[in-house]
Amino acid sequence: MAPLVPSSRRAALVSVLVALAGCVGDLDAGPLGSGGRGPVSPTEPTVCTDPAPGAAPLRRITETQWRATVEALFPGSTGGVAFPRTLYRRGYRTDAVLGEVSRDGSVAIGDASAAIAEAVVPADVSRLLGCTPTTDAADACLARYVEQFGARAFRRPLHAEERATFTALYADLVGDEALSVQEGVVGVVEAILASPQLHYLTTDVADSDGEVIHLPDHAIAERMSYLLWNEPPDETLRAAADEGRLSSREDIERETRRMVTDARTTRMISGFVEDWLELHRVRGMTKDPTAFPAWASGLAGSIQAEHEAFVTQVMNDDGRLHTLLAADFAVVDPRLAEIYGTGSGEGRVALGPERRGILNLSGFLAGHAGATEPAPVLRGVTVIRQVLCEDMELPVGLAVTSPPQDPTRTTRERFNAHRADPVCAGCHDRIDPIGFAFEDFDAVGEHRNRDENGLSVDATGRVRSVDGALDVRVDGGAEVADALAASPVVRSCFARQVFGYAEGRVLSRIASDAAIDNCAVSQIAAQFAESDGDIRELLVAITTSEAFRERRIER
Amino acid sequence: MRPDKHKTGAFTLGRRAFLAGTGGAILALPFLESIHGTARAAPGVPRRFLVWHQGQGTQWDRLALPGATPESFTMGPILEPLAGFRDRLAIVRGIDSRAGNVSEGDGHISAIAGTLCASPNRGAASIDQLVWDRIRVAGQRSPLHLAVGRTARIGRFLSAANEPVESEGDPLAVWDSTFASLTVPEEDVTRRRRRRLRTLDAVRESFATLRTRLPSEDRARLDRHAAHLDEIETRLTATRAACEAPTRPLGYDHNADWVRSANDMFDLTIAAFGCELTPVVTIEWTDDHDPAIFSSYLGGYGNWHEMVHSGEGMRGIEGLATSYRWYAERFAELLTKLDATPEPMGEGSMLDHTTILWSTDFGYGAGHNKNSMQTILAGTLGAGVPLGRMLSFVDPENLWEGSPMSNNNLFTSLLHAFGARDVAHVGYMGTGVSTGPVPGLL
Repeated sequence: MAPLVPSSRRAALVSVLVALAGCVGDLDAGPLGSGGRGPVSPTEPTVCTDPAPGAAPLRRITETQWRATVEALFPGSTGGVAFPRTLYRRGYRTDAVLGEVSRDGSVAIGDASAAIAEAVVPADVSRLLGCTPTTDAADACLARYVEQFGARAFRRPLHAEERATFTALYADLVGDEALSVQEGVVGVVEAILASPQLHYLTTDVADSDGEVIHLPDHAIAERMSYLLWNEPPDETLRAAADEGRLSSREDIERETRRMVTDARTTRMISGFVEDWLELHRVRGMTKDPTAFPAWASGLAGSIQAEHEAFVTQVMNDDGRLHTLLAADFAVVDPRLAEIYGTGSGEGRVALGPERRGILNLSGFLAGHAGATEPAPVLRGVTVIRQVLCEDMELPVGLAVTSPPQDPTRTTRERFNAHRADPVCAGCHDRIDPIGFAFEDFDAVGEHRNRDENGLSVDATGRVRSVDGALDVRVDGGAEVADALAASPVVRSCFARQVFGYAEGRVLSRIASDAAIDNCAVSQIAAQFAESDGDIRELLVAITTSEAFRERRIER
Repeated sequence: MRPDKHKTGAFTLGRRAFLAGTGGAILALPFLESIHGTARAAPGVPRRFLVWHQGQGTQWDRLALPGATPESFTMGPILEPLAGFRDRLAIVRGIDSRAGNVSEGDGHISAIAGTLCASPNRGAASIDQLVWDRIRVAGQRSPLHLAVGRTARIGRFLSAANEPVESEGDPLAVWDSTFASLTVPEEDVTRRRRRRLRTLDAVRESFATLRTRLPSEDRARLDRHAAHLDEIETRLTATRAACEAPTRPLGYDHNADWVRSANDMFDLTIAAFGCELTPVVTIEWTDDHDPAIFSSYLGGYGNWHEMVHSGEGMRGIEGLATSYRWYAERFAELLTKLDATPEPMGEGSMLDHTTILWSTDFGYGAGHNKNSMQTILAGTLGAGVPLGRMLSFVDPENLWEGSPMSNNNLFTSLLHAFGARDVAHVGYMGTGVSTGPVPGLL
């Protein structure tokens, strides 16, 4: 028989449900993590006299952005081409740390570039180049193509050394009598597709000095377009950069306002929210087939479709954070209509009073749940970290165990055990009152008054930020949503999260240079508040901020 | 692929003989072996290394129990499918993953971050890479990382500190990336290589140009990427294997049928070994948290992970051991295939020349801890090393006590088995752990 774990063991007792965070592809822990410990105040500094740009590590574009970039150059060329897999850090796919290229990743990028180049360069290269190149090393036709194609691929005019590299490559290839002109052009396209200038958002400091530099117009353009649209700059933005019309705050504001009304920004927001609330967890999840037959029939797919439809609806309505968090509608298919109990309607439907906003939709509730029962700790921790922006990490050397299954006790009763131990209570006194308030939703997000064992559900709780600025007693997930939606703490946190997303970093309040970020966030959050939580205005506040336009560098 | 394919001259001596001619003294012996064919392989190191990783630990009392002597151990119900391979196993019982225990994160994350790299927080390359560094010969590709389940980059396998590699779950994708080039005419491969090597030089130049324009912190990051360009060259210049590509697997939903996809992966493993494409393969069960496949063993109760936590007896179900045993059945299928494959470089079977490490994340699944782990080695540990033994260091009943042995010692032994006797100790040096190899194993 398996022995019992001695109860005298001085080990932190943390819910197994937190352990679900170790899901596939998630690098939350370890040296890549922020290293934060325990709850930290979310209070923003009230005085911010000297805003300065924060750290801005070299960032590699994401897979989505890479596909958009190559598709803009060669439509239809990336289908079925493998690219290094996406990793997540605290939900985010955009973190610069995750852009580090592994050995296999390097091979994948090289192979993808070769395969695409081979597919897009026709035997009659004049169809691609618009002229017929000779085998001459200084061929003008080829040089012009390098100039034009390179500028599109790198999102800026090429430097002389870059032009020289690619024209010399062509000469080298066609100078080999075993290789054809077509292979010469393939090589040039391949080299440009595999060059780091395509894959990274860079800060060129060759022509500047000083500790803080204003980013050049082309760098601003690519940062804007990859943030707002997940795409390389469009023709309008390219022209603005080429003509030096992205230097001032007004220039950037004008272009941002043009861009944020586009559906591509809505899609970006949808992707951001998926990352922010760690909704990717639903993918590949299993649920108990007996208790939740809807899962086996494709509920996870419905949930993913709902997410973009719901965010789109929010952005089309008023685009406010309050609506995202407390909307009284959902966008459903028949499967979700059954889970939500909204009747026979499809598309946009009104919700009953027990359900409000994105945190009460199946994506969040099922994604932060086990196979049979809700995961109150996971739901609570996600709200604390992501919605309240409080650093909270697992202690090192933790012995994870779970409260034993017991059909005579509710989840709340079983999990209360960890609060009896003062080692655990430090965090769980904060996590559980939020997590338990979602107990009126089961493991796929259906509302319930009784749990899987027929016991009556107690969904009372308390939504409280560590500094007490938010402190509301609640009963049920809808009241959690309302409390969060109304809170300036949450609004400020959302601004922080989107700012971190724009910067490609998971911001920490306790990092050595946190004060710099806190200062930038406080200004952006103030503008967001002035707009009454308009998400598009938040994007304008971010792209026009000093933090976005400038960079502090170490040479 | 059918085992008999190996008898059709697929693995001729061509490639290794070529390598021996250019690669130096280390290859002289295999070269002579391959020339002289029937000579008994001299006492020596295993030719290949295979890591099999399955999550969620095990139940030690149902896996195997020690007897009065190392040879008299008893195999429990979990290992029943491996009864026929009893004398091909070495079970190491009661060693800790010290590095896992001091890694950050919960039970899963810390196990992932510290077990196979034996250094805290993904602080070093994993054991597959360490072995590969020792036994590869020029022209061989880096370890082949396979998954049963979804393709994932979980972070157990690392090519270097903090560089997790991806395990590919689609057999078709593995074939395309590993064997497709064998079907391309030699002339096309040569032309492509000519172009790509020159192109790669231009890409290197692009990195160098960009580098000069970046601030120093960015340069360091770019340099880490640039360093990996060498791997592209390594693969482009890899000697073309003198063997046939295995049959291309059909496209299908590999997540829907793990028995089938696992067997496809076994075939691809054997083909990669047989073609000498790489001496190291890893097979990782990437959907180990709540595999839906176990629900039928659990009385329709789908939550395998909670079952693991709760130990057994929950709801009166005896399904835990049945589920662990399911992995053992797959492992037995792998060993059977390896054993049915004639060793292409010598006598005996491929199994006789392959060291297999069966690792898992936890000692005691219910505790999700990394103490008192049970690790199974199979195939060979080198000529003259007896198998059919269990070495037991602590009784897992006392799992909180801490073992004097850690997987650092085990990995040290593995490197020694592969001839790297100069290695004093692999990875983490925790307190209370002796350094060096596991005594009595080799």
